[in-house]
Amino acid sequence: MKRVTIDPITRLEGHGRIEIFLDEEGNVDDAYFQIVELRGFEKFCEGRPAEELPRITPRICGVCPSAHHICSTRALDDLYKVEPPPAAKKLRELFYCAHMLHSHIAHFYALAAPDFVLGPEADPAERNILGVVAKVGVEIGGSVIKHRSYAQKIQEMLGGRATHSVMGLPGGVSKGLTKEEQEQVVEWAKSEVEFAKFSLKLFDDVVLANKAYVDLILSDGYKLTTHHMGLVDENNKVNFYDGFVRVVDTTGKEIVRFPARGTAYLEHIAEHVEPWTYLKFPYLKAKGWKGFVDGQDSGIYRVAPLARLNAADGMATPAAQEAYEKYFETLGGKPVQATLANHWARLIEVLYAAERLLELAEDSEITSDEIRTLPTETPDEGAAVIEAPRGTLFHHYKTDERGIVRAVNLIVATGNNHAAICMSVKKAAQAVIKKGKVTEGLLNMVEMAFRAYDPCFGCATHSLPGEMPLVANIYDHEGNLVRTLER
Amino acid sequence: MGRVLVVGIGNPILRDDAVGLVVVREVKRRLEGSGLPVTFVEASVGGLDLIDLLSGYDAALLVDAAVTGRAAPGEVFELDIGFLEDTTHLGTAGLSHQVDLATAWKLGRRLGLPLPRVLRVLAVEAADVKTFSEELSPSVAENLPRVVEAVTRVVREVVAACGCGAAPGEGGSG
Repeated sequence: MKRVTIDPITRLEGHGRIEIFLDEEGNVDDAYFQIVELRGFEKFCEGRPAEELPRITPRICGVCPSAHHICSTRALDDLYKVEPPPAAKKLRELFYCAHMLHSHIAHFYALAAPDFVLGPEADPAERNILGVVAKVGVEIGGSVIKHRSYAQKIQEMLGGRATHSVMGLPGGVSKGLTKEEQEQVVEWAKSEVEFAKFSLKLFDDVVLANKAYVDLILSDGYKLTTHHMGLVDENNKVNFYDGFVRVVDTTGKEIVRFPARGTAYLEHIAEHVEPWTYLKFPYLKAKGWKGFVDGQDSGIYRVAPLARLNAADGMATPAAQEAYEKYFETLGGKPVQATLANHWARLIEVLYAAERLLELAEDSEITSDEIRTLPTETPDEGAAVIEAPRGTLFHHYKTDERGIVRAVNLIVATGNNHAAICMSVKKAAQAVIKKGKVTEGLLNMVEMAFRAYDPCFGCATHSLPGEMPLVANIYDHEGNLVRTLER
Repeated sequence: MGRVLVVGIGNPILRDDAVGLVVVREVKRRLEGSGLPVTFVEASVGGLDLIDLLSGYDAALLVDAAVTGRAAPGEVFELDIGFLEDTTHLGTAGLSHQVDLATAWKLGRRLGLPLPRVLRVLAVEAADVKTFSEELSPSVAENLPRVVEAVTRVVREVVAACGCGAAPGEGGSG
């Protein structure tokens, strides 16, 4: 059989491409971050029974299937006009807290920690999770794997499968939790809480104790002045599963609040189209689309951990609340606009997810047999919003009276952040490109800027042989390609 | 657990991205009743999750779609996985949420996870991995019987190489 050695750059052209345009002086005029464009998803869904959507939509994305599964399930509740029993809601949220832990732990230790534990200037060959483990010790590496594994086992226990769960049904879930399983989950959840506290302590010791890192986080090259969107509960505390979508403006004042179930989002969010990409750019209707600019008058908002903490008044669990207060105190009050603060915010969410997981696992109702309300209404239209690990996620379906899908509209987390990611890339590029002089440090700066958002690439399902390449093309003011940097 | 794991990797609804899943399903059907100590899995995961999956087996064979531009659509080839030992370069881009196989593999080794002694990676050149569809591209579908034949042969080689041999009574698939 033929053998092929892969040069990472040759694989999957067009994924993660950065286009930088210079002006006549050789300074950055514009920069775009191109996300892979998968085609035909809506068409694929049309004509299928709506109850298949919680199993189809997770296939869009290889890295947050559970977010699509739960969002889709909640959209079906709305479509079939049915209210799940309390135990079913708690089981879904418990499952979902486990998903958040699984995703956030990987992001922090594998993708964020290398820049801080080893330093942003470190050789890329060492600036990875292996370098982190070499520095902090094999024991901590083992603990990372163990706590990801606990979170995974909880998802498998309730989801029925290791990935791509089958638990979600309109009006409830397909499987409950036995007393024995409950005991096991409580034990794992306690361990997750301790691990979350440890992770925040590590962040304290490695990042916050180092003034250079705090200055880097707060530096102008990593700052945007935007509005922030996130899901909150009835007390305006961060919630991942349900509640209200809340938007605060650049001053931290609430400007939008609507229920996370139903089609109210259409009144507040519109989508802008650009000629260079099929992906749309959502913005706030009340502000309008003003181009790729930040500020109080722009319609561009951000989502994901930084935005969720800004959009809420606090955390619903005690230790996470304490961490939340310290975060805003250290970073100069609300709202925090420093993109790199996403990493700290993500760890505070790890603690909240762990504490909430434990609360739900210890809830006496969690082992109830009443886990399904059978739908009796005729379906027509339904929508729901949840928080995916990487930001607010919208699912909206229309069907005929038999529940056969006629239209599907999704606004995914990375879509919400797409405009902000482009602007963050531009700012980072501006900081390192002066008068046409492009330094090798460009890729590092740019990489740190977009990585903070934890963007999702629909194609990340199969990751052989390596990760997708990062390519930056730089054009002069006449549009001629003058340099390509790649890794 | 132990023995040999064959993993088909891909997205079942993203046209040729699914080819690894389709091939492994067919190879499993062919080897049913052969008594070979092989477990077949279809997975849509990568990186750390893939390492979780591989842990505990003596040998593993991965079958995935790839877009290399160096083979004709539908052609199957073996990936040179020297990169697993030689370089960490592939692990640094950080573009997708997950770490890649090379990084995850090395991490697993360093943390002492029971990873397979033998790992081989086969890839099928894809024509289209960007359109949602449950059907393979015609060029990929056409060559499928030859791919299945070749992969079946490699499964037998892997079983022989790890010294697992046939295990009557245990056999079949999972």
